[in-house]
Amino acid sequence: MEIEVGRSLLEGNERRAAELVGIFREAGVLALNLISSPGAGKTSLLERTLKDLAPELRMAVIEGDLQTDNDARRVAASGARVEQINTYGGCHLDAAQIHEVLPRFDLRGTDILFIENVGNLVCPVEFHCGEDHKVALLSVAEGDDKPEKYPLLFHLASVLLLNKIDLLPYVDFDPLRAERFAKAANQGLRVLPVSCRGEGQGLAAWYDWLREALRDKRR
Amino acid sequence: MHEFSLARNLLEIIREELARGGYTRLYRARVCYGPLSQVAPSALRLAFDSLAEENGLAGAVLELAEDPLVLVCSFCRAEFTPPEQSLFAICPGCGQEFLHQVKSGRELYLDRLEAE
Ligand SMILES: Nc1nc2c(ncn2[C@@H]2O[C@H](COP(=O)(O)OP(=O)(O)OP(=O)(O)O)[C@@H](O)[C@H]2O)c(=O)[nH]1
Ligand SMILES: [Mg+2]
Ligand SMILES: [Zn+2]
Repeated sequence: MEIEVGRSLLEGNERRAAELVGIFREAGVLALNLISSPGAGKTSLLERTLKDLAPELRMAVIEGDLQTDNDARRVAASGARVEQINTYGGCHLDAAQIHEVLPRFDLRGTDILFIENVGNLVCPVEFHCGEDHKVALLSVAEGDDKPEKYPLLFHLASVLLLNKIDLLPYVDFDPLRAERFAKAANQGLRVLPVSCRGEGQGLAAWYDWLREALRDKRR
Repeated sequence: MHEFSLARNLLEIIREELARGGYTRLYRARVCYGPLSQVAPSALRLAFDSLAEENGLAGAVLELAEDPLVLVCSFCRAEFTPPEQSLFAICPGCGQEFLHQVKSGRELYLDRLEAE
């Protein structure tokens, strides 16, 4: 017998992600999914952001990691609410894992929920976690050809942080080339060069983006 | 890397479909994927074979079929399938290389089953 099916392999995750979207909307929480290769600076960005915006915004974090709670401990030092998810070999977070830890947060008392995904430029892109936006990070140490090689993340992200620009003098990275391909994949992409070191160059523009995204969400 | 979770979802869907029709033997499952779905066919096949065996469906064949990528040019609205299967492709309508929208090419679905 031939049986016509036509069902997406991701349908289960899509369904659970849609539930999360409803939960976040109800609570008025802006949910952001941070995606990058390992070491691009997701945790560093969170450490800075949580510290700098603590006086004005209530923020919480879900930390996804293969193993260890190192990042969760780094982030918790800021005083923010943080929950760790260890995937033990899993290369991405999925909506079911977010569902599981969500009851441990006070969502009504939260403005922004950051989800730091497992370091990986490919797999996390396929699994919606109910977020309002994907935030892509690319560090200048990784090479300016990444948007060309991994276009899907840049196609779907709302904002791209080009991190570690303090290292530009030492690496062979052409920000214009990276930006050209990233924008070629996504017309509406905002590209923000930043550094999480020292003065925190460019971070003010990132904070403005966060404020605007929160305003849009609650409008 | 995420093919194992995809294969697990696939088996779940297959079991549901078999149960619904009262079938017990699976001969073939046909999965279609778009060029931008980021799935590695060989990894998916490997994961499927091991999971099929665990689920009492050993010997079932996974057929993988690639769907064409369909882009829409943001400038002239032309719909086209680029020979290089890439988001960065030259529009045959106006020559624009960038800023295309994806009409289809990200999908990944169980198309049909052959069972008894
Ligand atoms: N020079 C420089 N180093 C940075 C910057 N941001 C992060 N780093 C360093 O890069 C390394 C990795 O940073 P993390 O913040 O741990 O990166 P991550 O993306 O969270 O890494 P994973 O969670 O393992 O994927 C650390 O040694 C940071 O100190 C930056 O702007 N400039
Ligand atoms: Mg980290
Ligand atoms: Zn065109």
